[in-house]
Amino acid sequence: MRFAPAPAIIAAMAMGMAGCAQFGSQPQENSQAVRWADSPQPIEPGALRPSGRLARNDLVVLLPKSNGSIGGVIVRTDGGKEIVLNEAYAGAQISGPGVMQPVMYDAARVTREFSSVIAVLPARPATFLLYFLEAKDELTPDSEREVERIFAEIAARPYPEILVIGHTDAVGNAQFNEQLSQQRARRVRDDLVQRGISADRIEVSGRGKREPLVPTSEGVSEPKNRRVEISVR
Amino acid sequence: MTKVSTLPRDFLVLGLLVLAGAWMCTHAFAGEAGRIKVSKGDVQIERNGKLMAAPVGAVIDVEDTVKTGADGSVGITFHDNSLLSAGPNSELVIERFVFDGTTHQGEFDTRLKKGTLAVVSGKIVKQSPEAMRIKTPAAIMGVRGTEFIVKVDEPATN
Repeated sequence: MRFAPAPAIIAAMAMGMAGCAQFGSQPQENSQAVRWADSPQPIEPGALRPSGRLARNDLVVLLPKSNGSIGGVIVRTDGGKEIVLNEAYAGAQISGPGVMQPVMYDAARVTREFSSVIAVLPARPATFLLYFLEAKDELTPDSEREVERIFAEIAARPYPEILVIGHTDAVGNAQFNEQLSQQRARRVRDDLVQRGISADRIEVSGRGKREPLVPTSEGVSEPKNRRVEISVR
Repeated sequence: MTKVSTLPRDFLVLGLLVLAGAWMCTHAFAGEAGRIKVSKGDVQIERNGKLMAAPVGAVIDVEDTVKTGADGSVGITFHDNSLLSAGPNSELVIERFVFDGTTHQGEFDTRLKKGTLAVVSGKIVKQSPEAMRIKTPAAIMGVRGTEFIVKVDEPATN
């Protein structure tokens, strides 16, 4: 090969990967226009039959936010029509491609019509923090008191998938802290396994002193950084 | 001379590398997207044309279709902490799910063909609003970070 190999390899693989954007994404709907011809389910022939309801009665309704985050949903339909839903119980009713109007729901009506689907939403993913004694893989007395409640909450979830990440403060060298953080995480993992949670659903890692909760100078002892983070979904 | 004779081989190598890149990209899109956390009544997963049971703990892959019967309902938690649930007589296709656990960037496309769906958005939307999209036969929802429900109610056909 005459040309420089490394750039050529990268360029060639990039060519192959260039198709990525189109790949998993059926019709690309990044653009605002919705192309009905691309939809595998265009207008149903049944809509033209004489008997029965002629229009579809699709609906989108925003629910009150449990965590107070802002955002909302933008509903787009044929012909560039769109409705932005950004308050609780605001809705959009769609009776056909390009036929959409705003509607207002309320708590009682949502419960009446949609309680069966809302009831089976999985438990919200959660994160818990446990704190450790300096330079040890033993919990602080405060965390020791909390740990039972936290483990019980995790164990009560259906098929919990858990990520355990250990951290340290900035006392000691990097290698010591990498090991300590992993030791803390493994300790928590072992306790979870003892509670009956299958080990293959627990992922463990240690971040040493690299990701402090409270940024400090080198060598500073900081109780809030000596922690293990348990994320469960 | 040697230059001419090695040229076809260079192209062969180039071609293989292009294919390798393409392979990496398709495989990045396939794979596990989430798991079933709630399963009540008649719930099935359709994968590669085959129907299978959908108990709690079952994996949901990209391109799976989740179907519920008249007494069925299902709740799924995805890798980015998005939550989806479907009520009775629903059909939900996971068209695309890509998520980078480090940067939280991703793309999430689902299609509700029929029935009801409840959505709680996750890390993908927090990182990139509207990177999660729900498609229905007559509309597309771009999710900017929230909880909502969607119903697809076809016209009567008989």
